[in-house]
Amino acid sequence: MSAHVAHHFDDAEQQFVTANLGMWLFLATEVMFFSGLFAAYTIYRYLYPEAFHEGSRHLDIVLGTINTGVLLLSSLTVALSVHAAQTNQRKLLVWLLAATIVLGAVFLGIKAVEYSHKFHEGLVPGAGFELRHPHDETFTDSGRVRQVELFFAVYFAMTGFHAVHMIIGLGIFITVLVLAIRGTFHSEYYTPVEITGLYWHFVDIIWIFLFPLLYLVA
Amino acid sequence: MAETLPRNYLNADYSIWSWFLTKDHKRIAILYLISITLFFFVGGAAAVLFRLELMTPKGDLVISENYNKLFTLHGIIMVFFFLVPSIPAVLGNFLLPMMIGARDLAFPKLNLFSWYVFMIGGIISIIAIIVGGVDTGWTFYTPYSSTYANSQVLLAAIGVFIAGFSTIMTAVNFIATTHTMRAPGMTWFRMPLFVWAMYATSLIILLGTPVLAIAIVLVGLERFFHLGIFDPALGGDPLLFQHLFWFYSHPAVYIMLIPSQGVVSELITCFSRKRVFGYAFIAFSSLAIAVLGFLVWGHHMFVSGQSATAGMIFSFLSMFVAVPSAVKVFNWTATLYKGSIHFDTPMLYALGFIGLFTMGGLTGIFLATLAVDVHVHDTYFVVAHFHYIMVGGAVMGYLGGIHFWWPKMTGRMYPEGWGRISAILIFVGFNLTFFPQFILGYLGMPRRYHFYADEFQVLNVMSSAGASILGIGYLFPLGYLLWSLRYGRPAGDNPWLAKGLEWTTPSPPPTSNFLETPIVREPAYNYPPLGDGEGDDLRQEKIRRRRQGEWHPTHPPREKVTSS
Amino acid sequence: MKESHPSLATYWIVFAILAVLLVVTVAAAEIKLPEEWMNVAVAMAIAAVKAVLIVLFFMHLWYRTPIIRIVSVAGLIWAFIGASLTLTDYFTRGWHEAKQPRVSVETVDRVSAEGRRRRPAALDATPAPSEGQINPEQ
Repeated sequence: MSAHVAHHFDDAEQQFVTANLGMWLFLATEVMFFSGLFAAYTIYRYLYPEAFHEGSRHLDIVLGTINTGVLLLSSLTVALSVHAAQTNQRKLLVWLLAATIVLGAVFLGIKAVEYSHKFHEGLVPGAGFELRHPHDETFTDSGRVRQVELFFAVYFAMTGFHAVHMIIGLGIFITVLVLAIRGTFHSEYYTPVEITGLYWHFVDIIWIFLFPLLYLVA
Repeated sequence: MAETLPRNYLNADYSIWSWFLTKDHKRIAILYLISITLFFFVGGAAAVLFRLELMTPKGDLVISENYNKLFTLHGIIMVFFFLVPSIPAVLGNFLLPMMIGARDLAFPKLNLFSWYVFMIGGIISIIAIIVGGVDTGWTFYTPYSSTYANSQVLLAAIGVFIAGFSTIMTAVNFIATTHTMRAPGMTWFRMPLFVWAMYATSLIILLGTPVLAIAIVLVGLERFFHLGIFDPALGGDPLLFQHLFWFYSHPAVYIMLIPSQGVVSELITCFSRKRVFGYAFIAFSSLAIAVLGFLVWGHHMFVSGQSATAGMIFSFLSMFVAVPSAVKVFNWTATLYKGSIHFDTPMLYALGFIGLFTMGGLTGIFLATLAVDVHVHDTYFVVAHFHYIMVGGAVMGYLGGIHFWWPKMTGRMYPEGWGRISAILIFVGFNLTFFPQFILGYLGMPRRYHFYADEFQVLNVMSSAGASILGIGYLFPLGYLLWSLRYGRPAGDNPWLAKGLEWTTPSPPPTSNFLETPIVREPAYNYPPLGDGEGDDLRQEKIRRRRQGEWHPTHPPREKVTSS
Repeated sequence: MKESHPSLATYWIVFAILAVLLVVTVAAAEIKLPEEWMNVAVAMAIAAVKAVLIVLFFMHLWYRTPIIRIVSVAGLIWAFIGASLTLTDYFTRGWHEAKQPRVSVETVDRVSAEGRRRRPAALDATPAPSEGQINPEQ
């Protein structure tokens, strides 16, 4: 069985290590990308703590917790799928990859439900934003209400970018799944599974931080 | 007589798809070379127009809005589509694998993809210009860019965002390659300093560019979806954009500078025929600039509304970032000392770099001093400062590198006389253009204005006159370098008798760079000791060439019309 | 591949811990600590533990070379630097602001009127800047 070693590498080991290093370097850039959003969150929460409390109360903790659990489970299936590739269990690999994709789709589905709720409650930033049922009575004057709009701007930006990254991850996993069905991966070559897995774990970690910061403020 | 060249990366395949689908890092470097040259002249055309406008105190050539679009165009194109990619994407792509003894970069397909991404970003930006232009300045400050501007902010932002990904891909490639693909014996401290410079630059790109990406995307979201993260009406802070923007854009200036410093290290050592003084210090200084450069961005925001305390912190930190660059200047000078100096074209550019970069760097210290900056911020003093670094520094380093490695990349020598004339023309034109701007700025002429007080006219005319000389100076290399592709004399493997693995290959190199993986046993820049007497090896070689009328022993002499 | 990698048991154990920590996170948010930042700190600490577990075992960092470990923390350190220095601006606004201008308003008015009197021509010769409507492009 060929080890798919590209001509510019000396051996499969060098190729694997290099691919790993490449993906970790890319993940470092992703950390920096999200750090701008986390910085914005920190600054605005520091400046407007009550508005963040109020805004967070309008988020559905149950759905958020379920989503977090779904993502953690998908990280498990990803890790197990790499293990399956390493141990030449092609069928198990395919099922685990498929499960990951399903779990990711579930996450996005729940997210879509949450977004549509926000849309119907008028909590999407822009001209149509209104705080119809404030939990805190003091949120009546327009200045304070606009601060809650700012919370939602941060919320949509952070969860929106996270969702975009998940969609991209799902797309890559579908490609990996197709390759896995064709039997491309085995114990000597499973690099795409490994490095796509790294990306997926990273997206999970971002959510692990987003969840308490957005949903568990109050 | 005609000679058939051996198979090299240029003649391996002539089809158009062999170029557009190449995975060879050398061909991708050439693709980048052509692209950024085109972008350079687009950005330069904008400069011609606004220097023309600035010859008179009244705003009479273009209306204010179009003037804003011109300097924005100039800034965006020159920064993102010329300076940032210039040395890394052209010289770095071509030379990095060769300098460390590798057959290619770590991720060749990613490399090709990076060029396509770059071109898409560039084309979108050009479209933004054609359908109306952007007038926010290359800095895209909010809330003008996010709310009030009527120009093509969204398109331009998308173009820059996409181009940023291209640089990230290149950076990932360079870092991974340097770590895992060095030839046997090529330890970190035997690598050419150019490689250290590429590595440090890649670190900056990796850690900084994503923050620019998020800053620009948030502006786009605010414009398009009214997600008002920077909107003061919601309690948002426009200054947050500036923090995010400058967190990248200050290190970005080191992205544009460090590669040029890497080139200068190579040129100085070769044309003084001496090992670089303080190799380790220069290597570490590149890393130090990369790290320290991330700690100082607030010095662009002293008068923006940033807190005075933060201003003081950033001013203090900015003093440190000059130190590593100064270390390099001292070490290059020490390399020159008691060296055997050759004034070939690349050396002229390197020497010009050292002088002009030093001036630019020192004026940077003035600007880092908070109180002084309050006076000269947003004046032509700042404009002069960064052009001394970017043009007097980075572009001269780039041109020096292009000339130095031209024979390796093309197998041809450029005409040396024209090279030297152009270098001098560029040096003179540059100083005439930008030195008056220091004075203008100090006297109070604001930047980004196309009308000004009458008393500033003389200096402005001087500057515009210099710009025309500079422009002509840039056209000469375009001409003679293209000419040399057909009529330049065949260069041979190592016309400069330089040290470095890239010079051990034929010119142009074969597609896989080395027929056998080299094994490295000697330190970098292992030039023979300089004795007294007939001069160093390069000087003797030049004498031999002149005496025997042949450029390189293995190439037959060129046919002469009249016999010697 | 001569990589050593986690055993199946390791993966399941880590997942179990992560699930437990998720419950702990939600429960801890119910407990109101004296200062708000303490709640945030607790939540972030638990999230950090989860992240470290995922990084070490699911992402195999435990088994990787030093350079990859350095890369994995580099982004975090840099993000921390960026955020901290940015926050120094926001935390210190209002510290050194001048209570009164050093120069009186009357002086400013007088000096600028003088300047306008001396140099009327150059600035007025230009056409007025085009009207900028507050109308973001769609």
